[in-house]
Parts: sequence; structure tokens; C-alpha cells
Amino acid sequence: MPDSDWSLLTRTAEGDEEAFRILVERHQDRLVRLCQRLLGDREEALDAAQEVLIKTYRKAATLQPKGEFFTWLYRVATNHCLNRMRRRKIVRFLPLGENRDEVTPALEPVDAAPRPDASLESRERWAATRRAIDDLPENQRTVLVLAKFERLSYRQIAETLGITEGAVESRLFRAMRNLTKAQESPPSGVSQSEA
Amino acid sequence: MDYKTERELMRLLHGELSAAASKRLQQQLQQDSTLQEAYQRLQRQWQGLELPEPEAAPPGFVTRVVTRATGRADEGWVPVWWSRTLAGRVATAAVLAGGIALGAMLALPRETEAWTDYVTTEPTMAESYLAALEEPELELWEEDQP
Repeated sequence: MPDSDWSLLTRTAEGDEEAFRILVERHQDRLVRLCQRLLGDREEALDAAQEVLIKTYRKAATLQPKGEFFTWLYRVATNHCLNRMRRRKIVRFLPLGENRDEVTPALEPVDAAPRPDASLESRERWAATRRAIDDLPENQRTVLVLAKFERLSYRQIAETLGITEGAVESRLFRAMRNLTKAQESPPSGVSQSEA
Repeated sequence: MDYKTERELMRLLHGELSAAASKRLQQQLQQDSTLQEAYQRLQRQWQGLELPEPEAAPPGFVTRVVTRATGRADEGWVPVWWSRTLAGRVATAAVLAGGIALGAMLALPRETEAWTDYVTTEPTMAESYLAALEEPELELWEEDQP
């Protein structure tokens, strides 16, 4: 029977490098994907995932096993990515009236380079999704990404973000309403999202 | 459609309704075409949200993370020559101090005056050349006169 994640973390805290290696191997793909979906940039996602794992290694001795390990890891990663997005928003601030296309959105296509195997139709759909998600307020966007693309349950999202299941449901509901509004209105009126 | 029903439809779509509530709503959907239409619209919208699948972590990612984590390379900038042992630090400091002392000794002015005199008294190559060109020629011309 394979070691549980928490027991691997305990061994990591005791200086077992191999235990940490197994832990990283087990979660690296999921973590990189989550960071990439939230940040929209491959290199930034790899950096963020690495920083989260290093943080995990350093905090290993102080962590108390509670709930599922990956939920805890998702929580750290989501907060880390949100902080990065906030910093990026400050750095990339542009005055009103600038061309929106010139600003790198918070959730741009996960793979900016056109994939040879992706049809034009798919790429158009991805771009539309990206625009729609970009226009959502941060709290709705995060919940939507975790529910839709990470396929987490309401309970898991609530644990990850440290909010109630009711709050998850409300945010998702508002996100869906905003997406409907965005689809119904022309592109210029998309940013009028209800927070 | 009321707010509560709308939220229930979303929960049904996300598989978050209890078995009993789910069964009840499914029955309602079969009887109410407006409700069914609303649910289908919600379904289309949810399924229409698409982003390309991100790539997995690249090869070597695990090794890079483990090396950085265990090597504590992320704790801040550390010079490559910085030793972790006390003896190593003392030796490094001694070598640095020796180097500074040697540099200071080499930079000290020694016999500067003699060197300056030599430079200022000795004519440059250009000066010697000009002197050779100008004066002797005049003297020779005068001597040749009857």
C-alpha cells in the first residue's frame, strides 16, 4: 500500500529526501496545471508550482495533517497564484481607454502558441472562454476555474479557499449569471459584472 | 423562474444535489418544458467553457524542486564562495584579507620622483627628430659659404 501524502510529509520533516521526491512526483502535474490555469502563463506557472513545493518542504515540520493533502496544497497554490495575479495587475496597470488587447489578461489561453492539432474553431472557443472568464471578478473566477477545470466539488473548493460551501455556490451562481450577461451583450458591455 | 430553482438547477448540473432532491428535480424537468429549456441552456453554457488542457510538468522538474528545496538555494542570495563551515569561512576571510593587503602594497608609491625626473628630462622621439631636422642644416649652409 503506498504511503499517504501526510505520512510522506512527516518523513520529509524528518529529513527523508526520498519521501519529498515521491510527494513532488505525485502532485507535480496537477499543481502545474492548476497554476497554469490560474496564471495563464506556462513559465510563471512552473515558477509558482516550484515555489509552492519548496514552501511545503520548509513548512513540513509545522504542518498538522488535516483533511486531504491535495486540498491543502491547492489552497497554498491558489493563494500563491492569486498573490501573483494581484502583483501582476499592479505592474501592468494601464489607464482607462487603452486598448484591452494589449493588456495580458489574468486568464489568457493556457498555451499561447497555436497548437497545430487545434482547429480554428477550438481556438476561437478557447479565446471566447478566456475573455468571458477574464471579465469575472477574481473571487468568481477562482471558484469557476476550480469547479469547471479542476473538477473539484463544492466541499473541496470550500476547503481550498477557506470559505463555506454556501459561498462557493453563490460565487458560482453569480459567475454563471455574469457569463450569461456577457454572452447576451456586445463585447464592450462585458465588463459590467456583478461582484 | 425563481432564484431558488435556478440555483437548484446549477447544483444538479454540478452533481451537488442529494439523491432525493436530484430525483425530484429530474421529475420536474420532465414535466416542465420551460424548466427543461433553462437547464439545457445552463448545460450548454457550462460545457461551452473550454480551455486547452495545460501540459504536465516538464522532465527534470522533480529533481529541480528537490535540489532547490533541500539545498536551500532559495533562502536568499549566497555568494558561490561562501562556505557553510566555520573553518571554510575563516580560510575565505584570510584569503580575502591577504588579497586586499597585497593590492594595497602594490598600489603604494615607490621611487616616484626618480621615475618622474627621467620622464620629464628625456626628450620624446618627436622632439629629437625635430631638433635634428632644424638646427644642423642651417649651420652647414653657413659653413659652405665662401
